[in-house]
Amino acid sequence: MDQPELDVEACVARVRDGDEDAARCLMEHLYPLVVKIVRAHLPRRTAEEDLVQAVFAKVFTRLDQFRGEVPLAHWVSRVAVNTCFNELNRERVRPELRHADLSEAEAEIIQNLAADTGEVPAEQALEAREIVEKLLADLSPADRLVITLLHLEGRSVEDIRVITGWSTPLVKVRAFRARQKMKQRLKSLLRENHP
Amino acid sequence: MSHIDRNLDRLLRAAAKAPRPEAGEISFATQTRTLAAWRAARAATADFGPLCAWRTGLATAFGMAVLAVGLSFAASRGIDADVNDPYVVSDPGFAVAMSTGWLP
Repeated sequence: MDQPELDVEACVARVRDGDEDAARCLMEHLYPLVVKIVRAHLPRRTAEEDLVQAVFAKVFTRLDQFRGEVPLAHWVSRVAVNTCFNELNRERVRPELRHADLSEAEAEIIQNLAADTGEVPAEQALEAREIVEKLLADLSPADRLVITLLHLEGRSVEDIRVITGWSTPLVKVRAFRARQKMKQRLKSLLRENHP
Repeated sequence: MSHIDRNLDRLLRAAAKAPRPEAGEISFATQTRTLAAWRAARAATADFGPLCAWRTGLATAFGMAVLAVGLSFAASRGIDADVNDPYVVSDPGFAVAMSTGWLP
């Protein structure tokens, strides 16, 4: 998607001076980035627009803390991920996923996973995503975040370290533990499917 | 790599390929609500300066009042009131003023 040319530095300076037109321009410029992060980490009971608003509110009120040492997009990504992470922390952990919670299409994927070793067909990608979302909902916010960034968004460990502020070993340990938990849950789903 | 590891990888790979909806454009309502929240936050910050000065002044005045009462009480305790003295001054504050020569 083509982004309109925007002098980000000048725009940020105007926003710092309280210019609302500049704030609108900045929001329009950053929206695709923010909404992508929000959709990837949205807690189930939170409205997307509410979370987008919360992210932008934080960005504007903390803009004085932006020193320009990293690109604005990186800084905004970090604010967005942290806002989503805090929102996920407020959400209560859901009970463990059972086979009966799956839709017909999702149950078919689980059945195919147990039966063959081929890739999940592309036309079932949305259902696969739904299953992963349901498996992730059982995890802690930190585990959920690391799996989403690493496996669903394809980010590197270094990227995750920068976005979350965690150390590299912590990212690796969290990713390993989160994966172990997901494996346990998937195992019980497969077992329920083929007792 | 175990069987369950492979299954999880297949599931995660498929999920990562799931099409994402277009980002589209930010709605006018969200923009307006965000700007209103930002405006309110700025106003609160701007109001904080005078409010802070007012609170500091109030706390200082209160502190001075407490100190004055304390000093006055301490001074009054230091005067031995002679109950047999017909000229005894019952008002400790007046006695302090007399003893320090503030009053003729």
